[in-house]
Amino acid sequence: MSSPLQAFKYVKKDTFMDSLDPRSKFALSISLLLASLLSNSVTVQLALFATAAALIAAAKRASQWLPTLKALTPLVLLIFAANLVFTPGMPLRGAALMALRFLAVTTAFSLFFLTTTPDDIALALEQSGVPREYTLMLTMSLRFVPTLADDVETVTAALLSRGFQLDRGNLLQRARNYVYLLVPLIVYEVRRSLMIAEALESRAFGATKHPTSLYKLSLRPVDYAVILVSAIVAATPLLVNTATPQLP
Amino acid sequence: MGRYAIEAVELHYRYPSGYEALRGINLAVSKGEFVAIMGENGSGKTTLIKHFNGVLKPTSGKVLVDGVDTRNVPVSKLSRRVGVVFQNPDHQLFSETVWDEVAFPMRNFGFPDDVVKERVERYLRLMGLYEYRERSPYLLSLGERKRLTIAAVLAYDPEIVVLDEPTAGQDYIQKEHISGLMNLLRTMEKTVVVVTHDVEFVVEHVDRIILMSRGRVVASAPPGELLTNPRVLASARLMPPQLVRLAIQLEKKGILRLDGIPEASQIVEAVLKRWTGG
Repeated sequence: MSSPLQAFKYVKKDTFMDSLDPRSKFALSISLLLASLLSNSVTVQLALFATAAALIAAAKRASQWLPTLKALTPLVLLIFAANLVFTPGMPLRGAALMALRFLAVTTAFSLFFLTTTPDDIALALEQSGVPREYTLMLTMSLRFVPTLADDVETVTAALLSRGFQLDRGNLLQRARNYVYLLVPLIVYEVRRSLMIAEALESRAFGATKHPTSLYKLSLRPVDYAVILVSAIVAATPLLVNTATPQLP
Repeated sequence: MGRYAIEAVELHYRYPSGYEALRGINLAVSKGEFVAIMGENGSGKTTLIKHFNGVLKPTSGKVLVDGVDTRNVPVSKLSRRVGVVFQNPDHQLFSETVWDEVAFPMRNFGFPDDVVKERVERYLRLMGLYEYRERSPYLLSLGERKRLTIAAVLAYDPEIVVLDEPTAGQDYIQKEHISGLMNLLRTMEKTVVVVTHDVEFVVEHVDRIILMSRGRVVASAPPGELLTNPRVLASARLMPPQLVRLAIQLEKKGILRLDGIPEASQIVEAVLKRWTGG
């Protein structure tokens, strides 16, 4: 997978964050999101960003997260610049707030995806009552992102090998060139999805409405503690003066 | 003009993920030579051939195509000299009809219309696909799609032809088609590099095998020499052909002397000779 997406790809490690139940990790990320959305304080946004970053470092994933942070920098600067131009009143504060909010939210979700396997996400959703068809759809989508990236690379290589230049011509022509990349990709992915569907059916997928699961998730006291802390974090902006219910 | 068709010097390649697929490859392929690259899965074979037309550029070291450093030439130019047929045909079909598919690279390279027409027809007939010329490439069988991708490359007449697993997933008849094609390429004096696991195909067609393991070249020798050396083959997790394995056992019993890859008839003759006490 290319480095900008590394911060959303699980890599197996053995840390405190990894040992938590996916539901408590999700509660933590959601609480950081809510706190970020509900607070209009630059200091709070900085604190939320720092908290999420510290937790990523504690989970020993800083080396994966930093390239993404670097890749996001132009987008953060764009958000800052756009808000500087379009925010009425205190443009500098508004621009800093929005840029930091974007960073805090991205980092919070990066924390969740870096430390939670797609299988655990599916299991957590299933145990929360989401039908297996949907949880499988989610895990498959995540599972096939790197495969799709590989396919794009292979088709591009094949196009170049036939003397085709994707960056040839003006902007419109370049956009048209990408049709040559899309056609084999779409056909191949549709074929692949049909093959997967056949393989799933031949393994009796959908034979029973409530299939059993080899693994069961269970919340431990430490997970309840994390959920409680998350609830407090989410509620705090509502309780302090800096909070306002309206989004800027 | 270079001395070799392809030359790799201390070639290293590291993917953006950090995985080092090639770890100091040194090899040279002479003009007109037929070479097979063999080795276990993940040994770096496909990564290596992607360097031959510049789709991948070395992390360090260099690759020379007819003396030209691939780092200094765009893929679109190198591809005119080095035609690469990748393993999966579905990744390399871009056009609405079989006819257009073969014409696609020639149009990219700016061939005149009459040449395009003549060559498309010739290579579709050669590959037994002419009757499907108006069909969508995606409606062909896997074997036909594979042959179509080969036709698309051969039609623009590159000096070097690189085939990645040409016989994978092909039945006996289709393999015969590809064998015939290899013979044709030899008469056309092309330089051919084939990545394959197909030992029988290699024995029949190539002058030399380059054996790879874990991103390195571990051996380079003619098939008769390399495929009769189980120790070297084991280093790349390959097994000798069945006839060679049988001949090795017979040699241990003093029935046969192993000298290159034996013919089935030689083995039968040696066994009968011992049986009858001759």
